[in-house]
Amino acid sequence: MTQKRKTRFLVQIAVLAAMSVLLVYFIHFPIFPAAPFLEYDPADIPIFIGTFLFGPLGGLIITAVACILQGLTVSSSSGIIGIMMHFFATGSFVVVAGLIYGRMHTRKGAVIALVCGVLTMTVVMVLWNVIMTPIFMGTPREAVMAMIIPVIIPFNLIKGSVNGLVTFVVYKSVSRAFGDNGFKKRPAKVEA
Amino acid sequence: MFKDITIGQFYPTDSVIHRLDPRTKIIFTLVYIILLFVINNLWGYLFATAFLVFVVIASKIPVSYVLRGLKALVFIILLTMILNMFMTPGTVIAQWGFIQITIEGLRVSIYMAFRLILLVAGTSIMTLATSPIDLTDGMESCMKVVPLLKRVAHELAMMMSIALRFIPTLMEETDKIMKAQKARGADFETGNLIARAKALIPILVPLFVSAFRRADELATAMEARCYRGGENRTRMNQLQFEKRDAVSFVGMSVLTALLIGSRYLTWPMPFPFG
Repeated sequence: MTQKRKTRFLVQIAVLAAMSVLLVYFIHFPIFPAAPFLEYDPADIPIFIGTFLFGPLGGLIITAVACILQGLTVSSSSGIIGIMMHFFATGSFVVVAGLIYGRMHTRKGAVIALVCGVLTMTVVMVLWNVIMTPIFMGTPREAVMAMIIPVIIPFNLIKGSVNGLVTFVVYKSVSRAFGDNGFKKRPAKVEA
Repeated sequence: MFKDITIGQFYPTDSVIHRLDPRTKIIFTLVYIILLFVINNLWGYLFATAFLVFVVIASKIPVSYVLRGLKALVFIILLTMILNMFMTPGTVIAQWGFIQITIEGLRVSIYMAFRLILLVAGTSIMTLATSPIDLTDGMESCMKVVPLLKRVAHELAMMMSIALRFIPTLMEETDKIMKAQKARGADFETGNLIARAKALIPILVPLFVSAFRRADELATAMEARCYRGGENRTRMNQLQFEKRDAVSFVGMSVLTALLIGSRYLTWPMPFPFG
């Protein structure tokens, strides 16, 4: 990568991460009224768009930067647990979706990438909750197991698919605006 | 209205804790988090709490600020306490029908509440007493000693600083876009999840376009000033360890010894812990 592209890449990643943080600040609301700590937030949308534009590695960097900043600023009450949880959830999505979309650069590929990403994220979150929540919170493992099907799976599926859907709708126009900015990595191929 | 918003919870005053080197605070917080998982009895938790109270007093941050961060967690803390109390097997001390409380359950639930509160309060003191820019600077020099992160430390810290600098700008932009769309009759506050997600689209598209334009301008500006990455780059404010940092490292060693030592304390403990 030439220095010029490197600088541009660095700034674009930073801006996407900043968007991820501020969207949480503007928009967040609980999905289930019964569990107020399970909130929907659109933080993942800029990260998914970044993944489609830069591939899985770029996506992972945005995820890392956004998670740390979000942990230090808006949602600092969840502390280190929140940072790590967010990183693993979004990170797993980004790797899977980025790899698939990198191979299949079409509208269909984008759909497959997002669906697989949401499924991976849900599986990772279930594993994380089963393994890590008892260690961090001391919740008995049976209690966590009991929450998997009614709470953890639907929450992650709903949040992931809403974010995936919005990404899918927004991506085309956004990628066009992106292409105008001189970073022409895949100029003609942007179809989805 | 968004010009003077402080993103994050940094509480600016002048105290010893604020003046500490950010690297010291980051290392200290990490050590403290690890130590919380080493503690296994009441005395350890009491030492850790006493230490935290001492830091809060030294930092001159109002206690209500620290507690505000915990408010979001009250529900989770209560939930874990209840789950632990009723679901841990052991010696039964109280029973109604199929619900039973065991000594072990009582003990575990109190320990876990302690651990969660200290974990969250400990990290939030670091963010309360350090400005985000100082934190990214500190993180850069901390990452420089980690083998895997060494080569990307500067770039990562640079991205974080740029992102932090962009948050207020983009916030103003978002606010402007939201008002513009509201003027056209858009509704962001009501409706179910799908309706709200749909309402996001007319905010996101212009926001992305303007964000990419700003990124482009900044990249050109950096380019014009010959930005070449971290090598040989000089700083306006060099981080420097002072005497107070040395003192706090000594304090950290004492705390570590105390908390590890507390595992072997055999002082008698009050009712549910004995």
